[in-house]
Amino acid sequence: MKTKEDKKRFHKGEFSIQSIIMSVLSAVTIVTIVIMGFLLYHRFRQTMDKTAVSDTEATVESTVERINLAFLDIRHIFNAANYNVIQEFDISSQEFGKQFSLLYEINSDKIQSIALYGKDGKLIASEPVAMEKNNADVTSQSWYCNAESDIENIQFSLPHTQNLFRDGSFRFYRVISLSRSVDINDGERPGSGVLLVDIKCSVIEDVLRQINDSSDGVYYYVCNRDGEMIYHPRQSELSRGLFAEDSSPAAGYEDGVYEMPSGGSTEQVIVGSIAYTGWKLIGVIPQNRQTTSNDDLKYYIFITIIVLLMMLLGGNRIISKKISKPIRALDESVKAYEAGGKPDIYIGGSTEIRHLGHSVQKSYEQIEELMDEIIRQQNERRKSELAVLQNQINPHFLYNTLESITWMVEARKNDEAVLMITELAKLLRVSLSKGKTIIPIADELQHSRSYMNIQRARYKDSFKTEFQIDDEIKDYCIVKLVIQPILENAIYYGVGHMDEDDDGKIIVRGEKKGEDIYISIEDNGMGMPEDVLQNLLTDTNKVSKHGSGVGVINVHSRIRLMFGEKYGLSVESEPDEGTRVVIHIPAIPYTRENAEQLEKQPCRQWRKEDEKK
Amino acid sequence: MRKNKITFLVMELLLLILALFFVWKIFNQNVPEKRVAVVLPEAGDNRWDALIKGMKQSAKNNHIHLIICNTDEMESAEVEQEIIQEQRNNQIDAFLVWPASGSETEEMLKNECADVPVILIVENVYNEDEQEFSTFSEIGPDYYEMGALLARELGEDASKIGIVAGREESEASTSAVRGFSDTLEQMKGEIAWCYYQEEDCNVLDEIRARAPVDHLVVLDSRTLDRIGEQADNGELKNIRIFGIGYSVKSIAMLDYGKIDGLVAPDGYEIGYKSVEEMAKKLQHRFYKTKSVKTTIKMIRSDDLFQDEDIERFLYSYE
Repeated sequence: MKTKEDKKRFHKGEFSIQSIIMSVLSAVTIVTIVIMGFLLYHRFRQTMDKTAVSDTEATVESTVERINLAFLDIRHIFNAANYNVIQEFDISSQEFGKQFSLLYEINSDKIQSIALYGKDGKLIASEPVAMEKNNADVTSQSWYCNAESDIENIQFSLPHTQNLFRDGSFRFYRVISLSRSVDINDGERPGSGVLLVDIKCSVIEDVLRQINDSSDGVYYYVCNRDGEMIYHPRQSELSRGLFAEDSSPAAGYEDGVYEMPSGGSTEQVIVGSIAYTGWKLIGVIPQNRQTTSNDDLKYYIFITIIVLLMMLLGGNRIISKKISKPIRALDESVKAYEAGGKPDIYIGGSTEIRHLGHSVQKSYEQIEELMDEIIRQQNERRKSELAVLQNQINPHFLYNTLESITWMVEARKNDEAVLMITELAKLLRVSLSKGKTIIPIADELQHSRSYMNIQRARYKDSFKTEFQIDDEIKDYCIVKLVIQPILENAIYYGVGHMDEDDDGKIIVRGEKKGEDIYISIEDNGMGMPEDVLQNLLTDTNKVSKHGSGVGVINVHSRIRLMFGEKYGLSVESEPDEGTRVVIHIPAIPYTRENAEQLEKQPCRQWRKEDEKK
Repeated sequence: MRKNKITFLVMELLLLILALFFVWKIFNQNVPEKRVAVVLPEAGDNRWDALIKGMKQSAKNNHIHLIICNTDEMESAEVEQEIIQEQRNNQIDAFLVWPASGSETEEMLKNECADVPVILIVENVYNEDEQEFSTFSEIGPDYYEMGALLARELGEDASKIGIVAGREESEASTSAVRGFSDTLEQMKGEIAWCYYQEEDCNVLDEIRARAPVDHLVVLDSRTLDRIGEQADNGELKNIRIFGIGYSVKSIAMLDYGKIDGLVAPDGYEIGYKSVEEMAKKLQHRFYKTKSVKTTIKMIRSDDLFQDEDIERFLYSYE
């Protein structure tokens, strides 16, 4: 259960030491792991990007090399057809046809057809032998025009559907045409024509398809310098607008690695140049391909971070618990002590906590000792106070009594003097009571009677005294000399100044009610005014000028010091009617043990009663 | 202390949930591809080359596993039903179906594919009531428009026209014939006869048996290829042949001069878009598939190598 104090502490922003240690360790752990995770991710990403780029670069380089070799091979075939067949043999000779056919047969895996056209576009020879299409006007076809316009070099066309022959297979062939103007021998007449070698597109398409099929998200395409697409793995989608590829910027780049904007993000392109044609092989690392692999990496790093966090949080908790446990135990024992218990102060844990425990334990022990000392001293002080109060009886009264005896002796009233001396002796015996404070009520009553007998002698029996005491109360404890000062007051303020005819009377009653004893002293004297009555039990400065000098207040204080606050005196008075003082004390049977107990620890008892209140 | 313990346990639990989420994300990337069966008549026939190429490319883009059913001719809904039932036992997630001719095909598809998505390809299911529309999405060309295109190609001077269409209970055939007839009617052309093919018939014999015509319009790709091969022979020699063709052979015959005009649907686009649409459906359960009318192209022998679009068509067949 959360105490009010805990709640208050929480609202004030105070936390337990374990929470603070745990929070600090967790914060440090989280920050460290997140930073490490970010750095790790960043590093991995860079490495993956670099790996992808270097892999693509290597693929582009090797593919360019393969295509270059294929084109070099084709050029060799082309040159062989030109220099070793066309320029070597007469086109009308059988050997020409044989060599032409042989050249095709040897290279038919790469070559779709070889054809030689005359100046007017008329077919001179072709392999494989096939029927020429009626509507195929070669002079208007780009490969022918290019060969005518640049006679020195071999011309490479873009891939296109061959439109020359009909072989009855109802098929079309995609080819790349190599063409060049060539010199021909037709009998003795030298002439010129155009040699056409149509290479199968599959020569380069197979290579490109192979690298595209084996690439992981990266794709490769080929375009010419103007960005016209020669091969693209998604050519059909491109031509239908189902996929977009802007090849123009990449087509203008030299060989190397570039970053290109693509649909709001960037993609990396690797450009390689293909020899003889000026075509570009472009490898593209799309952003979404990078994202997919980065996502994978991100998830793995997230999982690693989370698992690490879980483990470290567990570790942090154990550490914080281990560190805070002795502190908490010490705190708990101190709190229990503060709550009034007397537990042993916790001493354990690290050296510092042990030292702290020892110090607290020692401090509390010292406090205990000091407290006991203070209590002891207080007891002593109370005892001495009581003694002082009791000792206040003697001088005045003794002086007055002795004066009365002197007067009686002088007046030769020896019997009366003897009585006085006898009563005085009894009174002094009870007063002394071997130095005891607690006496039986019977002794106190004896003391009161002696006192009243003395006073009546002094006052020449101008008033009467009557004791109405229940016998059962006589063996109960009472603080000595508590009735006598009240009687003294009753005489001086009540009946002392009354004439004999006024029938002055003091009645002492004693009875037990429940667990308490009530002893009342009632007179029919002049009574007390209201203001005197009010200050009677409170004004300690008001000391009687008469009698023994022991005021009612002294009696009240002594009873309360001995028995507690709920006990003491109560006074009722009516002017010209009389006064009634009631002594209220607990009914404690007078035994040696009880008397000794009361003598020893009156103040402690009093304190306990206060605490109970 | 209790509060600390609860906070700690809650944090550990949250982290565990988070870790499980990322583990799920990793494994979720490796979910097996959805399996889509393609039901086409004579699936190995070269008229479907472009269509299957388009399907394969789209399947690759959309991570779909295509199963192209090995089929012969699909004469009726029963034959198609058997193939579909066979594939249902093969844990198929969706079907791309060329509907067999006949009015019962729609009902059969509704019954057999009640709990799997189906998209019709190439043509729609046949319905006797022309006004009644199929409940299935269809991705294919507009056969009515193809028929109309052919009619316009024949022009005003066309007279004595014979029509060879596919099966009578086929949406493609009836739409193409209707498109052709409606357009020709506006151009004052005359249809001498219209023949719907039947099971085990010899088309050439059927043509021979009918009145001679100047123009033959063949609205079925397979029949066009067959007639084109015989174009130089006998009674077909002096007839101008026009038609609807899916295959590269049809285009080659146009190039060879065996036929005079050809309307070609873009098979690649049909294949590509059908798989794409199905992929959307499989990714989002509540996605409603849409019908798409794909591109059609009028091809003439004169501009076969001048038109860049034709090059695109030819490339698709490779």
